[in-house]
Amino acid sequence: MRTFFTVQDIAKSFHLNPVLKGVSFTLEAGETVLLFGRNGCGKTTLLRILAGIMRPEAGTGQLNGQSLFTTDSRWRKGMVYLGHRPALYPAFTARENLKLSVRLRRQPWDEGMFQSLLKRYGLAGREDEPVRVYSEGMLQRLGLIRLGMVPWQLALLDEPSSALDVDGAQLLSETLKHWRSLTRTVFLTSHNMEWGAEQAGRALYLAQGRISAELDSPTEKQLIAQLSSETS
Amino acid sequence: MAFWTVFQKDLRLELRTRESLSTMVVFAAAVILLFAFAFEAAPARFQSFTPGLMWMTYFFTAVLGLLRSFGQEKELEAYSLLLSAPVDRSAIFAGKTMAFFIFLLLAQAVSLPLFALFLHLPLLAAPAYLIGILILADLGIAVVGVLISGMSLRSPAGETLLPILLFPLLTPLLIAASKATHAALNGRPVSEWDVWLMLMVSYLVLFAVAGTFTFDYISEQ
Repeated sequence: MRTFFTVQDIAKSFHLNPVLKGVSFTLEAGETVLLFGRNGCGKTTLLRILAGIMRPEAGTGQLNGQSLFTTDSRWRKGMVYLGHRPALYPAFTARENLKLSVRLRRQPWDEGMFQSLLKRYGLAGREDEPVRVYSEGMLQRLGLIRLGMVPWQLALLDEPSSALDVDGAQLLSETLKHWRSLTRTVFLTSHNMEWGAEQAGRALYLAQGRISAELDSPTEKQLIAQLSSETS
Repeated sequence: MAFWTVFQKDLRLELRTRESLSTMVVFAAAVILLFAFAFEAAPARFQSFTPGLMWMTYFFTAVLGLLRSFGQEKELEAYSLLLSAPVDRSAIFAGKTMAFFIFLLLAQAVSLPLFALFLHLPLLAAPAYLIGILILADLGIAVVGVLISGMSLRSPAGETLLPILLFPLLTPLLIAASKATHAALNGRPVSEWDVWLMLMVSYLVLFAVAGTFTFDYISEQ
């Protein structure tokens, strides 16, 4: 595997309260990495910075040689982001939302792929309903379909399994496995340590605004022990 | 390309929900009726203050429209789709500005006849000048409105911040638009009021340039 994504000294504060104080790490092509830590440690903030939704106060980064956090919008091309909320317009149908997402990335619309993904994620026949009638789990599934409709190298997933039922979580696990086989890199957060340990080949522990520990092939016990170490 | 995508998205969203336009039109009509019954003045006297009332009404109409329009961006965090897309933020700014400009014009197309009917605004006295003033002022309102709304997306108190920030920023434009409207509809020669037109043009250019270069920074948290 090769290092294709790197960030150095990312810092961010809210109302003079520092949340990230110098986050640095690298990702290799094709790996799935879990970012874990206690509530409020800055996981979502870090993912939103990497996705270009927030601006860091300090720090640099590169994705395949392309500098991050610049005014040149091309750096966001290789990345996709799925947050707590699915970034959809409630009044639009699933099809309209995904067409918008595809157009914003200057990609052609592939109806065949759309239908195939709808079927795979259990939303076939619901594509022309406004997404405001969708449940949280259906919205999360639609978010995953969106990721399947566009090319990317790095997916940033914030608690992707949180709204999913057992079948949905299983589907997500299969999807992550599929992406690994395509050498696509996934950087995700989860509070479900069992599920996170199953998915990740590596885990980064975020505490006191920094990556304070790194675990290779983590187990659930190791992740929980790491979380407990902060309070003991 | 991204400009058209965002522009079409906003228009399509409005066609689907009609939330912004209906709010804007209903509010403008209600204010016009209120003014009409509140002021018991002769038609000749109306002409001296109706242009000011008109632009004050359109300021609040614009605030309501912006709140609805950007409210849809906040729901389900749809705006993060725009911000994380590999498109220039200036294209997002331009697309949303043009869409909101169209909303303002449509709201005015419905409510201006009510100004003529109830508040004796002589719409047909100088229609070409009036259209020119509407276009300039609406573009200015849309540019500054979208700029400030983009900033207010970052804050949980954005709905409160929007009118507070918008009113002082739009005051020069609203004064110029009121003065130009009054002069044009009262048949004054352009040479007497072209200073207000130039002020509106300068205002528009200044904020359009500022918005194009700063939307990238102000839209991010």
